[in-house]
Amino acid sequence: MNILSVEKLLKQFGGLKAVNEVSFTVEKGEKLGILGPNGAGKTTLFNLITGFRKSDAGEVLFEGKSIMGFSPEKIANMGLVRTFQIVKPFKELSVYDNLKIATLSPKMKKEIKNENQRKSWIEKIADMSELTDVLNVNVELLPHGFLKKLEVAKALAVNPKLILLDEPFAGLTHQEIDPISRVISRANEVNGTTIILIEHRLKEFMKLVERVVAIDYGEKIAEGTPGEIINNPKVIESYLGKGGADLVNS
Amino acid sequence: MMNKKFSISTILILAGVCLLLLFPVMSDDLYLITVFSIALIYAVYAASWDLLSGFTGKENFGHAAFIAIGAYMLGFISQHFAIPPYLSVPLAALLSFIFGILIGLPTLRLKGPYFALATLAVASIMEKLTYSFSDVTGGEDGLYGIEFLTGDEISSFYFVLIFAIIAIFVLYSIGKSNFGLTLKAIKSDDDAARALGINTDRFKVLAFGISAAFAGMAGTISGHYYSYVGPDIVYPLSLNIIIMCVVGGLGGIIPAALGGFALSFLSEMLRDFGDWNQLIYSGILMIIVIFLPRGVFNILGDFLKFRRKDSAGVSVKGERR
Amino acid sequence: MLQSLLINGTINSSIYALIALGFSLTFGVAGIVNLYHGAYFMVAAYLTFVFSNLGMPLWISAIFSLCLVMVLGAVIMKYPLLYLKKKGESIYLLIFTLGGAYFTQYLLKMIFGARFYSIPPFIDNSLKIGSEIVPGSRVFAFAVSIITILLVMLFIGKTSIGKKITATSQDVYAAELVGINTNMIFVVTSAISALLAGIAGVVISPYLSISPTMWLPTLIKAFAIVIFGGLGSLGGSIIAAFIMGYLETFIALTWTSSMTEVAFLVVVFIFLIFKPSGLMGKKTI
Repeated sequence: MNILSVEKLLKQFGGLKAVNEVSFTVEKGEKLGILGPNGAGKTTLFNLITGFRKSDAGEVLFEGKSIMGFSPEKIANMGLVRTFQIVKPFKELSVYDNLKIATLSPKMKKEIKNENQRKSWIEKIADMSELTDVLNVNVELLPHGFLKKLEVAKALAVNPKLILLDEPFAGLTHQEIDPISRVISRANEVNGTTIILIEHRLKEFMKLVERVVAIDYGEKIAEGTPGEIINNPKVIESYLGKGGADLVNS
Repeated sequence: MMNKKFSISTILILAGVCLLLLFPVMSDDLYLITVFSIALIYAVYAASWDLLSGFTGKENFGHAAFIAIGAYMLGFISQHFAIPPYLSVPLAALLSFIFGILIGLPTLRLKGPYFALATLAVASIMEKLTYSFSDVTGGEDGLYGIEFLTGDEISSFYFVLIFAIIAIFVLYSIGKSNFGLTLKAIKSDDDAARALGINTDRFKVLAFGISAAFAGMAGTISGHYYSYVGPDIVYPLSLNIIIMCVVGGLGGIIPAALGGFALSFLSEMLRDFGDWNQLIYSGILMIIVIFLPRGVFNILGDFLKFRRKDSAGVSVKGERR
Repeated sequence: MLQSLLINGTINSSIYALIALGFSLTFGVAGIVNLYHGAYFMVAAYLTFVFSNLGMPLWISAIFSLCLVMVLGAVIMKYPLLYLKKKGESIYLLIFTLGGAYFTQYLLKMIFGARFYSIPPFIDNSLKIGSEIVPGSRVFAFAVSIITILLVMLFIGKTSIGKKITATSQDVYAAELVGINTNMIFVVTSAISALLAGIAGVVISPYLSISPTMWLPTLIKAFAIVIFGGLGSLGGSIIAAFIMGYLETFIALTWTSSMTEVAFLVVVFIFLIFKPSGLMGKKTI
């Protein structure tokens, strides 16, 4: 069953088509990757799907229902949650409070009955996201790797059905990527959360996702399994370059 | 280890409140009792400003507009019949709350200097209208003949004290609650809060309404206290309140309230210095913004705390880029 | 009536444009909303009053005062404002500059009292335009404002410092990469802003009174005009100054002068709500 289907989504900035009639679908429980060079329109696509920007034409269906024109908070309350490329921790607060804020939406107010439940839910998310050790630490003291992890954990704390991750590995070392990658897989396997991932760290990206949609200049240029994508001539030309496949396989 | 962190500050504040409660028993200095009463009203003004501006980061440059609603409502009604505080205060809360929401709705999307100017404009418009429609507002002379808070200074002092304790405690509780936490999240990053499903506009408008309601109630109480409402005791407050909150410290209600209490007490004590008073006052502000931008009472509070978060910070071993 | 509106509106507008231009410049280049701006206007007027009363010729007093106000603008930027700017919280800049303006007000009130002063006119003659007699000091104020605005625009467009100012206003980081000392540019910009406000203060003092509270309405109007025109857009500020200047004069002529400021603020408030980026603002909020 499709949890999300995007149909001919269009967004223009002046004369530039940032997202040009892109269509794709995502199945429930799937891990989909979106690939493309910088400026290809990936983040704009996320902004359109989650209501942070209004699209000019097209349709987005979430669980079969149109969510066009909905506000970001309404979409999040339906269970479609995004993260941001640039970390956005809630400043001057502890990790615990950051996660707590994620449980204060109308959606979570329905799912959480009392403060005890809230506490155990936050602790469960922290445990799942490998943040238990730093739960009481002020976010200003956290290294970048932890903030990236917190970004994912905040989204998970909303108990989402589908989560859109915008470059969760950007700027991290390999040792820092591993735990975040584990957190994402765990959310998918344990909670059944559907994942859509934008990432430039190809090796980790290809390992994590099951299917890839490649876009360039706002248009979808290819779709397929990671194996198919790295051998697709269009993708090689626009993004991977010669020897790109070797890079991924190495 | 839990709860130790606030014990000393809490004990000091409770001791201060007890001292105020017992003050009329220990001393018959009516002048000081009056000074304390006014300082307590200022503490509520400052605390109510902090809930909106300190928590959401939207600096309201026209808080006097909300105070004016409470004060002038009382003034108008009193021209026709005497209204006792137990009726006027709830009425002021309701009216200011609605007014706050009406101002909040159009301005909540404005940021930084835009928001500052919009709120400044609201208060300035009200001030100009006060002078222009002097047959209703009393213009520069203001409105007299308002029923006194109580019969004498000492019971008026207790009235103000109990009102201030309740108001500040309620504001503090709101700040500590999930509502206050959400406001802090909005201050830090509005989009990030929306992405988690929080309707940030609703929280901001509600914060506006609550902040306005408390300012309006305090404005009404000041009208009863002086038995007078006029532009001179309302409109210059916008700026004074910001100064009090910044000097005291933002985002915690109590530091702002203490700033309001301490500075209005100080300013009364400096009254003999005439013009020096305000010169010193604005000089202190500039020095504090440069050297103690977190506010005197926030820093004092941290100093008295056992800093729990540092001990937990040890476990962070991730590499910094 | 129309004639009077055109003449007085144009004179008022040109003064507003001069003040707003400086305010807009500091914001556009340094990103600072300087609430001290109205105080430069006031300080220049007081200094000119003092020097001319000490026996200096009026012209020399004015020029000397303007030099001092430029130094004041440079010093305020170099030390407290750049320090606060680095901390990154805009509220402290707003509060510091507003506190500074009040400090200046109380200081002047202590020295000179709450009295009103004025300085002698720079030009004694008056000018007859149609049936309207316009005092020379007003004509002078208009001429100086327009010439100053043109000179500033030329300075920014043509000179190498002007080009550096433009570059810094577009991208501070990129300007630093090509070797521009942006801190120096901020200081120079602040001095120019102070000069513009100062000139306005000096030219209006022969026909408007000098008082310790004259900075606040000036500041509110400059702030309002700049936001109306679009924060950081110099052209927008000038256009907005003229729109507001004519509007204000119109209301004073047709209705009552006591409602001019209310009308002014209501227009700006409505604009803020419906088009917060202003007439020509590039920056979205």
